[in-house]
Amino acid sequence: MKNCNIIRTFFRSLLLQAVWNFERMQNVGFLYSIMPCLKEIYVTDENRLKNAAMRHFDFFNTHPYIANTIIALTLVLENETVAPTGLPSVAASEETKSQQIKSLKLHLGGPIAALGDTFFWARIKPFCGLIAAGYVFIRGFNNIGYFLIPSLIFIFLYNMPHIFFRFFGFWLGLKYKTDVVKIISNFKIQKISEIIRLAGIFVCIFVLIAYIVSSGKYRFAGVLVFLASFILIKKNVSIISVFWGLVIGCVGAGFLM
Amino acid sequence: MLAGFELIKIAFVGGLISLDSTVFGQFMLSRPIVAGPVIGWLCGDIKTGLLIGAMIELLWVGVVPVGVGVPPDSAIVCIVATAIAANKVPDAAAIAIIFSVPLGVIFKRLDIAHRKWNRVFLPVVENGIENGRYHILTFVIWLGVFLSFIKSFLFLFICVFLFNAILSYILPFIISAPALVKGLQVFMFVLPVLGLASFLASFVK
Repeated sequence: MKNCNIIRTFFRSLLLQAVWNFERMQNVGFLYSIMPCLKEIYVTDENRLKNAAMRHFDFFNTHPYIANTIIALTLVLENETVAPTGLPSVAASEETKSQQIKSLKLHLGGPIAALGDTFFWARIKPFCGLIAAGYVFIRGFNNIGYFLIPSLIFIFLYNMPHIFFRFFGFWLGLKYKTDVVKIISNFKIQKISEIIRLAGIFVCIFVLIAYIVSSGKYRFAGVLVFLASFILIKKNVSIISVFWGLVIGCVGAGFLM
Repeated sequence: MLAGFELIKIAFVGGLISLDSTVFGQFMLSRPIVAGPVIGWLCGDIKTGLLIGAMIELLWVGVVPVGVGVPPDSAIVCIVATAIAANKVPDAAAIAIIFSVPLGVIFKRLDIAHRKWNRVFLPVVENGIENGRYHILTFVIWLGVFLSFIKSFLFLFICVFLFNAILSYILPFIISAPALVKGLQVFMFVLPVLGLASFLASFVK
């Protein structure tokens, strides 16, 4: 495959979820991403290009950051399909190949999505948000200096692992083919998320204590709200309900004081 | 008071920011901590933007989208709250947050309806592939981006206009009631504590 088409695929994969639909989820974005390379692979045979495009228009859903790995793997395997095999029936061998690609897409998508959800959405994103927002509340609004610093901290911290996964996932998929699964499982993502979890708890308690101690006359209210909302959220009350309870409670307290 | 041009400017930039949450890239520019200061800067009141952004960021920190679930949208809440609280008295920020939190849920409903509706593109693209017209794929993708942008743009335009008018109208009454102001000040203090509690609840097993 030509380098320029691979680069185009990488940038097109940013639009993976542009036409996210409940029926086949990311299928449109997926086909859009791989289209330049597919056209190059099947440049000689219009019919096979059509078949390949139809095949990749099927259901596909995974985590957007790690989807690049699957895209790269699909392209590598598609590229192998057209290589002359020398088997008696080329059509039959191609049929099994396409089944292989299809099942790979389907079976890799689920676990990778679960991995991405727990690592990025449930760990990295809250952790970076906590650090940026915690910085704001600990420093206080009057001596932050340049007001965009917390935003820049957040963008920088969050996008380091994000772009790393997007870029190296793509590159590894192109280079190591199906061995990439082994490589990703060697990354020890579980261990890293465990470290982030512990660090998050530590930072959160630090921010909480610093915030409540610095507040002066509202200390008691802060501790009370923290305990009440922690217990309620642990009992699966939604945060929106706790929020409305807080609104009513605070306005009521204002009238009582 | 927001002038007509400023309203369009906010809705336009807000629409672009909210594209980042699902449609394009996910660089998390749509998180409140980034969207708040940007919209605040646009309104000439970056401090309020940062305050509201940090508050809503902490409030949304425990909200995790799992699988195909669509969570309430934090970017819309933050953009509307910042736009209507900018250049007003400090206590306006609390009321702006209370007003705009329900919008996150409403926008989520709208988003789900939009994603269900997106299936109309599937037969169109399939038809295009059958006939060898592959450029229809590019067209559909960019149409999807454009429609998402229009959706956020109109939603923001209407909400900011409406809520700004309501807030400007009721703000004098609220400020003249000392008990209410006191309650709102307590609320602004304990809101981050609620966010921290939800963070801890999702991180502690």
